[in-house]
Amino acid sequence: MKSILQMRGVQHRYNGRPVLEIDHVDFKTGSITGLAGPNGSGKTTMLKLLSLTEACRTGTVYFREKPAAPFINNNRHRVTLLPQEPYLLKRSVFENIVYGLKIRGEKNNLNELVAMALDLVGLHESFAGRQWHELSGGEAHRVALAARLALKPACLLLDEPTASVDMESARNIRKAVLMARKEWGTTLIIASHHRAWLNDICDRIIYLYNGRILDCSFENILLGPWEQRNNNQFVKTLADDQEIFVSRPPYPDASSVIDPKHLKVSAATPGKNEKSLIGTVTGIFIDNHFSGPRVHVTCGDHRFIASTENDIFSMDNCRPGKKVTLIYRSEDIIWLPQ
Amino acid sequence: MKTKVRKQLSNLVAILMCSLLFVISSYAGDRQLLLATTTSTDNTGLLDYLAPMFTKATGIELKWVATGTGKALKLGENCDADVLLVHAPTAEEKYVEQGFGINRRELMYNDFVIIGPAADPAAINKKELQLALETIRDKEALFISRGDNSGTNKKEIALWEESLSTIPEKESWYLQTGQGMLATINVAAERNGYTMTDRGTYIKYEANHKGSPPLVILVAGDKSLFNQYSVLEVNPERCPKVKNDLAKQFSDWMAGAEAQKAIDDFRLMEKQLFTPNAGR
Amino acid sequence: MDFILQGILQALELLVRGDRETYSAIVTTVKVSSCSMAASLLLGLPLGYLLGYFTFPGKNGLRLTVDTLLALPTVFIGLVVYAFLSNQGPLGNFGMLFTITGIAIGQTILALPIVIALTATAVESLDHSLRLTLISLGASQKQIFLTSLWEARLGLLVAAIAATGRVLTEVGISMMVGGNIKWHTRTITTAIALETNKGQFATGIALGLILLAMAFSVNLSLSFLRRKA
Repeated sequence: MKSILQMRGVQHRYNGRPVLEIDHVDFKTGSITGLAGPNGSGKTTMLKLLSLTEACRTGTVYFREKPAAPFINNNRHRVTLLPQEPYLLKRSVFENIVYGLKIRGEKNNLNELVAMALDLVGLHESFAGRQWHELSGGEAHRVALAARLALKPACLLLDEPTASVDMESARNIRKAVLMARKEWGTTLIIASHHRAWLNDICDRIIYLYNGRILDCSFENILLGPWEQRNNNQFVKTLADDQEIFVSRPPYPDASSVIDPKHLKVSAATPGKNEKSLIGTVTGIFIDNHFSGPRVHVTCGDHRFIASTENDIFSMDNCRPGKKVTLIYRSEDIIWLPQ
Repeated sequence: MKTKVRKQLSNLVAILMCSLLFVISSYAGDRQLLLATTTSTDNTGLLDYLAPMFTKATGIELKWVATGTGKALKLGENCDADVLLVHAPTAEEKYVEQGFGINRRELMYNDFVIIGPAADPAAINKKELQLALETIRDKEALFISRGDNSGTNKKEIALWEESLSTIPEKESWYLQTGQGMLATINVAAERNGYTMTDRGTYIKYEANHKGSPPLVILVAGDKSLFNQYSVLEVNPERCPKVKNDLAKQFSDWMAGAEAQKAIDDFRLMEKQLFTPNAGR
Repeated sequence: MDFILQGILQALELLVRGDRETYSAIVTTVKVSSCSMAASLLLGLPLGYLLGYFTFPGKNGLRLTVDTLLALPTVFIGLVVYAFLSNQGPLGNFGMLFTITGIAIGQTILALPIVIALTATAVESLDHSLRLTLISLGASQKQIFLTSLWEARLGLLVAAIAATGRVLTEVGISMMVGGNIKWHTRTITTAIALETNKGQFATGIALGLILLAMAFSVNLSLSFLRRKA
């Protein structure tokens, strides 16, 4: 069984408004997948559907390659979701952690399981006796995670697990999540704005925008308005009056994106179809997922992430503070779905 | 959770109690008789006095609902009572004619009296009834009526009609309380007004005030102030479920020697409230 | 004014002396209100939960109706129940008029809207994340129902206390449907009405104080729920 979770032909809406449209996505057993995207891109919805807490309007979610839905059979016992703002029941920490266990009929070893779960998230055993209102935000978040880890789930889905917690809690949460994968082979799907962390641990990252999966990463989002120059030439004017050339927008105020690998730092002159931009380097980064370094360049007031060659000459050219030329083609600027 | 279990348990107990009550209340109906009567027989304590004697003699438990005559008659019409004890002869005769009640039997009487403040601002003391009522109207003296369709109220209205050919319904000096006799007397006492009551209730009122009540009897003795109490059985042909055999026993016993003597002996503050007159 | 002071003394006297009529009224009141409270909670808690938890067409209209029923006068309910239980009415065969059961039915009708409306409000004010949390921990619909009710227990406590208060103190239903029959259906409230009507104000006050004492002990026993929360 290679894929533990899958989506096919999924379309979902809230109050008639479409929020997610995914034709085909697979999650391999034991993998760590990141979900990235701006607020409102559908990450939370996708996690809710995958964790079988909500039913898809159209389409199917598959668990272990069989169709799955909320409240039907016990699949929901193996997939668990840590929501963005987890709610603790009005009872003690111990009771909160064993709630899920009791539902599944676990009666023995409750104390050991609670101690293990607390240990995983970096909380001392004595925390078990505290009441729900005696915890800080970060501690509450960790207890919520502990409640889910105690179930040793096959899949653990996390929605912004480190967004609103203190640094120590964030560290503990990150550690615990990886430990679950290591100990029990738990498949992880994590939605987060913390790009560095996602880049660090994920096998792959899925980008969502307006409810759809993008083929490219979207560090470089370009928003309208667009002005028309010639027949098919449209531009966006930057603060320093430079112009970015794009093809005809599919609808007014469309947004577009260009993958960093299509935006290159280059000393050569632009070719026939190529356009250029001038900017200042603000940083250069190495990343596991991308071949070659990533260069952060500011043109006018817009920050871009560009790519460059992985040799000493190119990298030397990209010293922070240096003025560089970026080369791109209009057709590489992709329009985002509405 | 211990407390949750405790709560569930107490719920269960309450449900069991209810079902038990349902069973009990529907079961224990056999030797019980439901009497609908007026407030005067109840408030004077007469029924409390007679009921144990009745039970001892017949083994029947007497339960009674004390409301106004109007409601008592309605209960009989709805077949919700077995027997009636009221004091509105004209209404009762019509009732029998309409077939709601049978075997009307006169049991006891007392009289109505007009009472008012001892100072008697309208000066009606010892006047003839008709003259007294005319004086009240002429002087626009405050008069408190029960206004509740009870036997007493029906009598009071009939008296106004006889004396004045009209009911002072909308007059400013005529107040209607819509309540029982003692409550109405209290209102009259508070407002320094006049009212009409049966003598039995007045004696009870006197007893409550330990012999010196603020309102005293001013007009009495006129033959239209005669107050007759009768018992009627609810018609079993109209109401097959009614306990007519028990009702008959009640009617017979109340007209019988034992009860009639007991009524004669009933005293409050050494005054007699009701005079028995069954079979006369 | 002195009847109030007299009343206080008389209350103690009636209780200590073991006055049979008073104790009969107390027992009747307890029987009737426990029945009606049990029935209205059993029916009202789930109905209130459904009303508060789910969205469905006509929900607003239903909520409006329930809230309006909160203002039903007790004499009105008494009259309607009488019409049904009377021998002329559809349920006359059950012989429930002038019995404790009849009063309990009327009081349940009185208490039900209170329980439903307040339970719906308590459930509505539950954190929306509760449902998500419970499902993500693997709860079934039934477990979600029970756990949500427990989480909302403070609001439910308010509902129970409000309903109990209304039921313990009503006169209209007990009088109309019960008939205020001594030893059988005379409750504390109908006894107060009777004594007041007879001009025995001190006794009315005394009985009223006894009723307050009963209400106090009920609330005291429910306070364990508040402690846990």
